[in-house]
Amino acid sequence: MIEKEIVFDGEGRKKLKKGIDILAEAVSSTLGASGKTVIIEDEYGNPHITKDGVTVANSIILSDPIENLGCSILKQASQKTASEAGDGTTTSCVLARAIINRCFDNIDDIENVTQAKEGIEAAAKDIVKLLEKSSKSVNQKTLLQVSTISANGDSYIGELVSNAYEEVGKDGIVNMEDSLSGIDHTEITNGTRIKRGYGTPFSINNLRSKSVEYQNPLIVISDTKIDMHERLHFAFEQSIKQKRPLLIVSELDDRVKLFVAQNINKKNLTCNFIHPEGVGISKFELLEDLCMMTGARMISELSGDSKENIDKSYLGTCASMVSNSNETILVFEKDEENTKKKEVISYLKEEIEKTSNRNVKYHLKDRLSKLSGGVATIKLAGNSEIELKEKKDRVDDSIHATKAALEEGVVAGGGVALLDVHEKISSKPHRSSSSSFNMGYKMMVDSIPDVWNKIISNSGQELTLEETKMMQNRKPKQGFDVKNKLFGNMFTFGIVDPLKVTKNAVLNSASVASTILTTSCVISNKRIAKK
Amino acid sequence: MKAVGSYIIVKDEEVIQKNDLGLIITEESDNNIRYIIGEVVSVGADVKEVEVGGKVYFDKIAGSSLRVNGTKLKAIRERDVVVILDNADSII
Repeated sequence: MIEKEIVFDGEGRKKLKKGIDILAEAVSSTLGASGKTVIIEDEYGNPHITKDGVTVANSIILSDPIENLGCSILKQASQKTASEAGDGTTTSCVLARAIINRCFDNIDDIENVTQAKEGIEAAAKDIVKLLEKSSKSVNQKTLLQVSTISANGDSYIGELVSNAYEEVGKDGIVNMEDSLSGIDHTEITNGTRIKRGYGTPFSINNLRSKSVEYQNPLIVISDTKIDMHERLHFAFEQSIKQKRPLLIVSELDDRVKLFVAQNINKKNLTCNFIHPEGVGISKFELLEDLCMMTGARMISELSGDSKENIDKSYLGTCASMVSNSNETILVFEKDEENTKKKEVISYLKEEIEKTSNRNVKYHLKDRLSKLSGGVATIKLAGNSEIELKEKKDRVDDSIHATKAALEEGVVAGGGVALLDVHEKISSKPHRSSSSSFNMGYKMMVDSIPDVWNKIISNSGQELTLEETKMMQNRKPKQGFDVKNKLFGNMFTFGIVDPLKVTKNAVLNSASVASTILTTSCVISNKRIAKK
Repeated sequence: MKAVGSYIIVKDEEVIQKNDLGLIITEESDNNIRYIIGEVVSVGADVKEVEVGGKVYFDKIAGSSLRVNGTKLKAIRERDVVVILDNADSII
């Protein structure tokens, strides 16, 4: 057992707060258009220069255990926002810190902490509701603005990403690769994504990206579990005869998996197997769609297929396949006329209009996106590895933000959307009979303008009296462009944020703050100094 | 070493087979199959059909293991043997 150190109430909170402050200070310096960059020393002593909040947050580890706990809690909130929306780490940190600071200031006045926590959560929900109301769906212009802002204002990358999304549409896939030709360009292909990774790491043939990459593979699809490797004998035979790799989309028995893995390992087979998506009827439908795209015939026990009547006509193909540990992307020949596919797409579109059941709608949309989606691959070139790495970071951010904007629309950027919400909500706040609830609600609402304040202070300039006045009499969506020092509508300036990012930042920071508020005791492992 | 009575001693080691495509099949990936292949090391006096040096298919659940001079062997009875192979090289 490791010896523990236990700290109560005030002292524990003070230390937690210190850790939170350190992390928030470091991360929040990158907020906004005039945010600063941070230099991080990696484990080999090399500098890594970044403006990405997640990278900064992840690199901070404090030696005091309790301070480090505070730091980790904030880190988790920001990482959750980043993993859900792809961006917004910094906003989450700033917000969480603002709420936590208010909580600690008022903690002695709060009678019932649990009710205060409920107040914070209720406020976060109200804020999200108002944000959703003020959001706008994107058009070509706003899409470019979003992708440019999230690439830290690099309009070249912004254009690259938004063009890629325009080509493949909302349901398409955009990913990036290293360019071999030395120029940045985008390749559009017709493809689909299966959210399942490779079945065995023995299949990996690209060690650098830890993925399985096949050109022109044979594809065999089955909806029933394959429990004998003899059932796949025909597929193995064709794969070996034609010297083409094999992709198996089916549930496999452990013995069959072992058989395949052993033979891949002995270099007798070039094969990758993935588990099908979905369960029950949805699995069947997804597999059927996949059959249609690949030209394969489904091996199904329902239709009485057995080892005897299966031949090579059951095999399908595609142009290329890339499979990593999480997902598999199939790319098809572009100019392939498929009337049946078109029919199914139009059928799905009609069905989505008609149905009101959310789960059914989700499934239909999933099918539609798999069928109609294209794949755009942005090939990036750089003069040096460091330059390329930094460029990739920004393109990655931009891809995520653009996707988030396409999904849920955009709100005014630069903290202005939160400022609008603050004005609306504080004019008619939620009232409850509990004073603690009201207090929590007020703390949350009062914290949201801090994002705007931080952006202004990061720009290194103070607002003049005149400008402060302008801000006080401003209309909704009006704000201050810190880069060009202009006052006006944020949408016309092109300063917009994806709704998903702002929304998740509010929700996650509220959840962290309310957790810390209800904490009164911190237990940490005792550190023993090395001699 | 000489087996006693109706006992047959076979080598207790995995024999990896290959199918017509050249794909290997190990015992573990085939563990739903009950009869496995083994080389006969010694036969008892009462054993009629099985000969030393031949390859036989026997019930993998039958018999018990033993170790002689460091080699792991298995003692089975003649009734556990189902097939005697004439030309084992063609399959293995």
